[in-house]
Amino acid sequence: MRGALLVALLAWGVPARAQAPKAAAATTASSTAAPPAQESAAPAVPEKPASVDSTDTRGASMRAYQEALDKQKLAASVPLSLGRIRDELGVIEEKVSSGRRDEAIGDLVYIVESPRFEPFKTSDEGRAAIYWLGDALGRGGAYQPARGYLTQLLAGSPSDIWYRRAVHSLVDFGLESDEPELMLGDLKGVGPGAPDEVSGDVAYLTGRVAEFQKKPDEALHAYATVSEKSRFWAQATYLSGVIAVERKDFKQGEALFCKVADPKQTPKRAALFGGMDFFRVRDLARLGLGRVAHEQYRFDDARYYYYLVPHDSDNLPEALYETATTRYEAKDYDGAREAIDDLRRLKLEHGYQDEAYILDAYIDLATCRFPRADAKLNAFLKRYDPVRDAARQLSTDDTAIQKLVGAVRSNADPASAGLGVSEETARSLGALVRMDAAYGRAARRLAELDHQQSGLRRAMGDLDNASERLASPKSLRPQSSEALGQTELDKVERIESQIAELKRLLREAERASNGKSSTELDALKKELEALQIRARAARAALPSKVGAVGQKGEDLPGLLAADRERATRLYNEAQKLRVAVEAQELTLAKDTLTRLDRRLSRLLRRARLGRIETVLGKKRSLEIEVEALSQGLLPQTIIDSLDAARYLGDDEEYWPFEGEDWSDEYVGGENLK
Amino acid sequence: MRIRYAFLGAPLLMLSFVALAQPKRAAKEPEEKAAPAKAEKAESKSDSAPAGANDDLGGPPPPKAAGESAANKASPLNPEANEFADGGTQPPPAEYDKLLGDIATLRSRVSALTTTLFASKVRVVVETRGADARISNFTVTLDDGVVFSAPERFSAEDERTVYEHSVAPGHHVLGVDIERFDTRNKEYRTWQSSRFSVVVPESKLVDAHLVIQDSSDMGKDFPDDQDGEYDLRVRLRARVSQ
Repeated sequence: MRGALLVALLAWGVPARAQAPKAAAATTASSTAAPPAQESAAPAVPEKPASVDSTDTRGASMRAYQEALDKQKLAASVPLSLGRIRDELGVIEEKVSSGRRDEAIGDLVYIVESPRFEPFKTSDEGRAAIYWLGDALGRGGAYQPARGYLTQLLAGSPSDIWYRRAVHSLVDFGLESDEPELMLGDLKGVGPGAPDEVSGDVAYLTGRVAEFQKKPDEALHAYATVSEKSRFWAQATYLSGVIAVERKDFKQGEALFCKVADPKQTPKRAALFGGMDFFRVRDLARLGLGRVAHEQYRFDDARYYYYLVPHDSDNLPEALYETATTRYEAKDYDGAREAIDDLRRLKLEHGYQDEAYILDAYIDLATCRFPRADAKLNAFLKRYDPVRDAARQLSTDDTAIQKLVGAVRSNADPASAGLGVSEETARSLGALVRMDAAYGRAARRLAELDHQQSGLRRAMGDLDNASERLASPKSLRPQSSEALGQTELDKVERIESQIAELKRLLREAERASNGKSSTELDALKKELEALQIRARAARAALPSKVGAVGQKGEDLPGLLAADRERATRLYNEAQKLRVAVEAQELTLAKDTLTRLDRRLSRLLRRARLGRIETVLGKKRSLEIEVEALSQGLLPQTIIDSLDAARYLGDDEEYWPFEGEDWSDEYVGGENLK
Repeated sequence: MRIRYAFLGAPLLMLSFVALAQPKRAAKEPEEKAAPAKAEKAESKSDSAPAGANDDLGGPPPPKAAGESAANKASPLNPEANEFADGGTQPPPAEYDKLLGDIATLRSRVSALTTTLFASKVRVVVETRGADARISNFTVTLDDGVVFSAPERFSAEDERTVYEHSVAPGHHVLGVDIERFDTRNKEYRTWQSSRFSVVVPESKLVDAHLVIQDSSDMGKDFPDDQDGEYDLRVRLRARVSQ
């Protein structure tokens, strides 16, 4: 059990960057590096639906447009040149860096899929354009066409910069994606002639895929080939250590963690190539070392390793909390108290605040400060009982869960998320929720789909405009017949937000009624359920944007009509897919709250148990006191009870009277007439 | 003499108290008695039905595992395995990647096509004002779709072009959805949605300059004297520049 927990804790701390570079900002911790404690023996790999793999860039459709435009003499007539491509690329790179990725993709497709681009395809500028198009598509989640463009660059020399950048991007997409084996398949051609940093990237992805497929031997083998020149050297070494620890080979695990944690053992260039992520992984390696030492009851070593976590690290609260736990287990209660006090002085909201609270009280209990321990445990129960109840209550309300998790992910104040619980409870919930990487990926998928759907709506409008323009070239886009903000979608969204608000009000009413059942509240709940059903029906009945589809064909109006029809079909498919993707996200969010409920339940039980122990402790101390008195020994509480200094606080000072009162002191006024 | 006894006795007393709360010796201490035992049972019950358990102090203790001793017994403060995420992943629906690829390429195709077909253009420039306001969410829409979503920590204290593209000449609806919070107190947030109707002439570039201003003092004043004000403005200046 203890070992299993160690593995789970180590895995919990795997840097998000080690899995998905983009997920790093979104997730507070990740968890997929290793199986959980109980399941490590028989890991359950979720059955994957047969995906539809393709690296088609769908460029043929754009080329068909180019031909049709050419026939109608609408195609661009200005010749393309290297200089022009270079100028365009400058603007495009700026757009990508300022977040205007969709615009950049449109511009790049206009260049790359033009017949005029063919002579420049193998030039440096041409390869740059292909790279930027593939990279921009991939960063937006369109992996299939992205792979189609990027793999074109892998036919060149491994020393070419665009070859190396393509490998870099494909590895990033692999780490981000749920199907990294596809990207790994694309990278099979990266041979031994490739530079160290390129082959290191591929080796790291190979290791991650092997771990994903529960093949630790293959993963270890791959990680061992990651060179110090790779940006993933630290991640690969750390994960090798995690695998060793999973196998109970603590010595090997410790040696591997030390390679990352100890600057003397780290290869000189590793930090240079690893960038900022290197130092995050180093902090995790130090925590890992502490946990391994703790596991082997080497409490002093553990304290030293935790101490190495720097003060500006995000993992500092974790290190201080675990230091306190280690010292507590080592029966060094002063050391434990010191670590807990250091943690409190940070004044940070952290995920361990509930556990640190209990540990604090247990340290008092261990040092026989029973009244103080009892007060702390009582305060804990008062503070966290409502939080646990709120977690249970919210786990039945999908909208509230999404609001809470959304607030935590966006680093917003959960108290302003409208959860229908008190501000303090909402903030505690926000601080304690621990989201895993799987949730981050599910949320990202939903965001990507929403973004693409929104863009598709705009594209459908553009296709309608283009068709009208071809039919009557002098026509102007008319003013919309709908009032601003009054589309069907707007209305449904307003209904949904009203329902969410009703739910919040009901929760507040329930909180105010202190759990007493009320027929009025029950009736309102039933009414709300009926409204929810109607809102769902309204969303399902949203009309898809069906335009007037013309005759399909090879000419420009025909191609536009075909694309308009395709757009409607894709939009409807996306609507259906969104339901499934949203359900996945919600399941993971609920799981987060369920796990919080379990943790708080355990701690609340522990707090109640602690309170019983304080009573037993007080009783036992009285017994001993009476026994001591009967033997003529004075108890500690009576010794020097008249000494004033005993009653002073730590920040007070006592100056005893030292007899400097002057008997002949002039007090004024005597003998004056 | 009596005082000396007291000095000898005090550490002994302390030692006897300390023993009570040590986790690894809990098996010998009162923790094994009735009430704590109930709690242990409650913990074992919680594994099966954590969310539904109403009574946190359950029944009799579970049987001790073979080989468990005071030396290797885990700390009662250790988390349980089911409190961690299962480390599994939820694979996306089978059609997800294909659909996303299809939509993205269709959009890029349409974008490239409109560049060729329409000579009219819209450029959206954003400028944000307000030292104490931070943007948490910002999107610009044109007609039915989002054309710009701000990345994290978006700021446009200097003018910033967020969209420039060819559009059909005629009427368009430019929209701005913005969520802001006060840096002095994150509790005070605002969400604003504005829609503007603009007309783009044939073969012209319309420069839409958005100034988003926040002069609110809620985050500062309201917590002090329960009196504050939100002052939010979205101004749009559209002019034909070419």
